[in-house]
Amino acid sequence: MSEEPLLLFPNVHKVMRADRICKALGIATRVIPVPEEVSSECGMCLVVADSNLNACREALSKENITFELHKRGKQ
Amino acid sequence: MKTIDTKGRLCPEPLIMARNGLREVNEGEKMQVISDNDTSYQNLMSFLEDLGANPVADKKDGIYTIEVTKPAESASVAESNPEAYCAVPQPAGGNTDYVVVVRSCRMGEGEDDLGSLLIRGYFNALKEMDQLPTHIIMYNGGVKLAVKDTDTAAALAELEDKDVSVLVCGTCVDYYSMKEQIGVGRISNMYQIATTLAEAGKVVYL
Repeated sequence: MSEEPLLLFPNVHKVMRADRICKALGIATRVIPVPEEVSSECGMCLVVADSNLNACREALSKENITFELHKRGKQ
Repeated sequence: MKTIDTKGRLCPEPLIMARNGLREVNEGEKMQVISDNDTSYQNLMSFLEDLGANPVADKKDGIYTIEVTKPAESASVAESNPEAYCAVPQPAGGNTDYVVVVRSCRMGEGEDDLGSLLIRGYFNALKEMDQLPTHIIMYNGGVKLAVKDTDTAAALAELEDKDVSVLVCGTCVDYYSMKEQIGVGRISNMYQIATTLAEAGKVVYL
């Protein structure tokens, strides 16, 4: 089964900023709740296509936005 | 023939009146019960059938006439419980049917950005759930979630693939001049929306 990258951010403000940055670059994102196996807290994370991960990482790094990368089976 | 007129009465009153009427007639004797309410009629039929009163119904000009025969086993009439037949009918599947109504492109009140993020998370979570709604109705700002190339439209398309009916308010799409941008769902009208809401087992408003 293929996997998709989940980008986890330290807080919801960073999720929103990262989402805006990706959108500005034409990178499609999906907002999903952080999976329960990762955290029991109510939080949101971004899903991007594997092919966009590097572009996303680069763009967010320029803006000093760090994220934790998780992988999960494609839904 | 004894006639029990239950017109204008709501459940369980017609059933109680029918039961009391049956108490007053002799075994094997016929009696008529009149009703002008669809739900009361259905409840009366179930109740009278279970009593063994062999109900036979006729409908004319919106008025039901049910002819019954007092059963030989009159104890069943005395012990019957009309109230039990007046429960709100539960949809098949143990009341799991529900309709989601999307009133806005955001979830909850407060910061707009947060509300937008939450509703995107909601639809992307919903499509992975076992218990899916039968319908999703989107109106007013909610129609913006059906715009092409958004993650909410993608989630809604997956929900449609799983037999969830997505209704998008046509008036709202027209108001926002978004017809060309709508990428998912069926453009619908207020009659369909009102009917779907009226028939819903449970409505979840976002």
